[in-house]
Amino acid sequence: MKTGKNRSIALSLTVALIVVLALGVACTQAAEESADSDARGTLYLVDQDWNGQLVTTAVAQILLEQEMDHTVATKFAPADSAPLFIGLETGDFHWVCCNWPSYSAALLEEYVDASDAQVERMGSVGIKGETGWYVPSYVIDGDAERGIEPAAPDLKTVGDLNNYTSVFATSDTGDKGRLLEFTAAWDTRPEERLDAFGVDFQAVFAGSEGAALAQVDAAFQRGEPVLTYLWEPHWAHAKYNLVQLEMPEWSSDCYPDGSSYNCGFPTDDVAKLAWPGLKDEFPEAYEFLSRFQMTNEQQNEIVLNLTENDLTVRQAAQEWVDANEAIWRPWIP
Amino acid sequence: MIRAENLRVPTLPERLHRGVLWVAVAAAAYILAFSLATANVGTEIGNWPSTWELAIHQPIDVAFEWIADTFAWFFNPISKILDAGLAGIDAFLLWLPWPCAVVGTALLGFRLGGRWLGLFCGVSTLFLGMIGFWDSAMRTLSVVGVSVIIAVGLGVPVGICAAFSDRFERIVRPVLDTMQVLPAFVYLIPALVLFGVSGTQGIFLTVVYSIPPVIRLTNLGIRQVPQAVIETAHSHGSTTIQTLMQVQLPLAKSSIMMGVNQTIMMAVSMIIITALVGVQGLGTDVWLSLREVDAGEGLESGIAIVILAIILDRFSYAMATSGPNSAAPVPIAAAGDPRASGQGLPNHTKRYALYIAGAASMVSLLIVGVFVQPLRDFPDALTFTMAGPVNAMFDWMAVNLHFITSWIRDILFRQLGYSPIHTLLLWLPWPAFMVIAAALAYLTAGWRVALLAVVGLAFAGIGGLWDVTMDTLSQVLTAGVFTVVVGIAIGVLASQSRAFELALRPILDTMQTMPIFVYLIPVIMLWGIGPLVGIIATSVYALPPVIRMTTLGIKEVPSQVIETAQSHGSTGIQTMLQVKIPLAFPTIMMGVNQTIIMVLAMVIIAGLVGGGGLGQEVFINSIWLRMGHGLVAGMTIVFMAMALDRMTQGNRKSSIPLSAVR
Repeated sequence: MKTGKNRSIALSLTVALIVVLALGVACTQAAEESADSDARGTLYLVDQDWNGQLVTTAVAQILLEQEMDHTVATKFAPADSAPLFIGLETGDFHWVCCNWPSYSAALLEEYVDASDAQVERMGSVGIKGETGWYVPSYVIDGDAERGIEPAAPDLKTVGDLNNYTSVFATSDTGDKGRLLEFTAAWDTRPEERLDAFGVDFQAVFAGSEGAALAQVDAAFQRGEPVLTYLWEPHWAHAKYNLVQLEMPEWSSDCYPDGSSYNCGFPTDDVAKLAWPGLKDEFPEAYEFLSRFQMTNEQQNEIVLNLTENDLTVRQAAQEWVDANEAIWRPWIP
Repeated sequence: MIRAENLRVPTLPERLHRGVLWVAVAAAAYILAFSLATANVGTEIGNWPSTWELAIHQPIDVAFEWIADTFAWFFNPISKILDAGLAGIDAFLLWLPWPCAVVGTALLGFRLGGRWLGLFCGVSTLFLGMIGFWDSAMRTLSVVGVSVIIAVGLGVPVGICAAFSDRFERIVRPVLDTMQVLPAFVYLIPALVLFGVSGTQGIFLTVVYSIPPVIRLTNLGIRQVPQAVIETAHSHGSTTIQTLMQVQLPLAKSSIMMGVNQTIMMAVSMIIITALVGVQGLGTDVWLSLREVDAGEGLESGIAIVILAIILDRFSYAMATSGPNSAAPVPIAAAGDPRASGQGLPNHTKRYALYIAGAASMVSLLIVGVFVQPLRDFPDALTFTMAGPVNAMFDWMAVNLHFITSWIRDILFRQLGYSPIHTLLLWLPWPAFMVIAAALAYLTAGWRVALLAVVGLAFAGIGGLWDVTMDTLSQVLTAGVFTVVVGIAIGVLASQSRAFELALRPILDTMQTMPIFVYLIPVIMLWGIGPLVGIIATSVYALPPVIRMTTLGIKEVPSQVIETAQSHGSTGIQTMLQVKIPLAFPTIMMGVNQTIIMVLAMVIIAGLVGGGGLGQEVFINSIWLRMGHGLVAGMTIVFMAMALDRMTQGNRKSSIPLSAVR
């Protein structure tokens, strides 16, 4: 039993030491924090799980830190998720750059648009999201280098799909062609659209974004035809050569505003969302974030720099900030 | 944990006879299913009547809203306190100079398990930094650490209460079963509303999921203390409290520590889910790689999780086995033998010298580290990545192995497995299916379980989930049958060849610790999406226990029995089929039981790879904030798990149901 006693004493001492050290570090940090920012607290921006979002947030963070002396930290919330909205409501998060309305309809209704909802819309961030159905370019044009014959040479519009049912057929869909969809949670109504277009395809839900993209990736590796739902801007376009099929243009008669499904998808006006207390607690930051804008091209440019030169998100954003003062200077209040 | 005295072992002919009967029934059902699937029967008849579907989700939503509004004052402060504590530990671990952590883990490993464990811990901690996951790993460690401390702090007292009161134990048991099987997605949103988006939220989810083993094994450990010992203590004038503190708890220590060990492993397995509620760390890295289809980076973050898990597992295992009562049961998760080098401890002076040297080196590293930048944060120059070659390998596999994988998917799993079973279940009128399920449950586990099965099915029907439940059930059965057949085959092989068994061990260990999300991308690239992929991924995930238990069971067959069989002229195969496997049957069934529960835990994953079913139902409702709907789907999974668990446990009165031993 003696060794056991020694062990417990040693263990308790170690634990006590760690606790004391941890408290010390925490206190020092808290002290530094409050000294740094004249009693202004930390501003929490939200990082989400795609590069376009991360670089946009990083640009905002760098400017807030370097030009406006704010203490900024990021917290993580997955895309289109309840944590994002709940966090923005309670003040665990203060600002998120890029909410795609189509992918969080139910949450927007509950936390932003309902009469007792509090999360604040700060208008468009400048990114325009285009959604559609895509096929790899080799399906239409073939790829001489890889020895892929064009499997659907005259495919241009969704109506043409009926001529190529067997090309897109899989063991899951039998004789019908397969339309690869992401998750049923997004309410994208593929079956209704297929019916309205009169296309004899079957929508198959991959269940999650990663699963759908892994399926697209595998199709590219094998040079197989695949028809998939996707949107732009998205990193997949930089990696794979995808062609969007023409659809009838979206109008206000179409779902979700109207009842017609013989339409494409509405443009997503990607929005900034803020914690209701942001205006009072961080008035300067609020002013800056209201003016903050980023176009598809700018975002793509940073992401490309990031992936091609193997930079970190922070480095890529910093390079853009250094090179584009003319663009961001007017945002600083 | 096999406790032979608890098993009612039927005689050999009796069991063979029963086995033949079961096989015949199963074969008949299968032939019917297969011909139905080939004949492409419709499913119009026998559906659950839609007028019997009730909005049972509504009262749940109302009740929850009431709780959230009424008790906000209670939950908010808890959240604030825990968050502050977590932030402190987080900041400390991130501030701690990395050489301190490397040397510290090595020293701790050395102290607990000898020089090989020390070396292993030091090297693997260093490796964590080298593959670029230092900060993530430290963040994850703080959440896991706090969660485990809370789980143990709450779990041990609850376990003690359960040990002292049979009635309390009866109440606690189904609650624990539910906590282990109910998908976290079901209570993700309610917990978010109660605790806000914070580290507390992650801790809450982790504690709920990982607390059952420590409660179960505390209960078990105290109950196993011999009555005579307690009476002796009482006769010497000990009060109940004294007996508990000085006799029962010390004697139950190794059992409790095994529970802690399992709790730690389960806490580690929640890392990925907690990332969904904003807990940064290794889980976030896995999600990012998943979304960007970067299998290589996913694998790296998975390896980081495995390393963390192995270190924590070995530490807690070493602590569990070094107590006064070191005749501890061998845990499934701990494969190597970290005690091997624990013999011949140096004498006291030498040991104190070592302690002092260790402490001195730690302090000096700490001081130097604080002032020298490259020793403070892990330097980028030391990191490397293997994502490129790994991705290239997966790409190659996706192209060149596709012909095999698609054959496995379409012929083996779809045409022979899922499709017949699914057709049969949907074709059967619902009352007929209920009767069959009840009869099976009654024959295997008695009338209580039959009642449970009927109630569960009725619950699914009333909740409007009959078809979805049948879909999930057919996926579960396909995966279960495949896993059991393949697992037993591999287990038998492993029992015959020591080399094969040794080679298998690290693979099984990795399979059990590597988060499934990590190998989802490679699995999809090989097999595509849909229910079949869910079934395949599930089968892979659930294989280890049945392999391990089969090997164990066969090796435990007494050699006299085998010799007798051989002297009667049995060939090797005859001995295996007629003696060894039947005698190992109870142990094998324990493996089967664990496998079934693991398959059910995977239902939610199937929903993420296009498998549909109850998993998708739970997942989508969590995104749509429909707690009531999510809970109904989640409880259906729980009913299914409980019924199948009891049915595969058979008539045994196992002391630890629902595979506390993972």
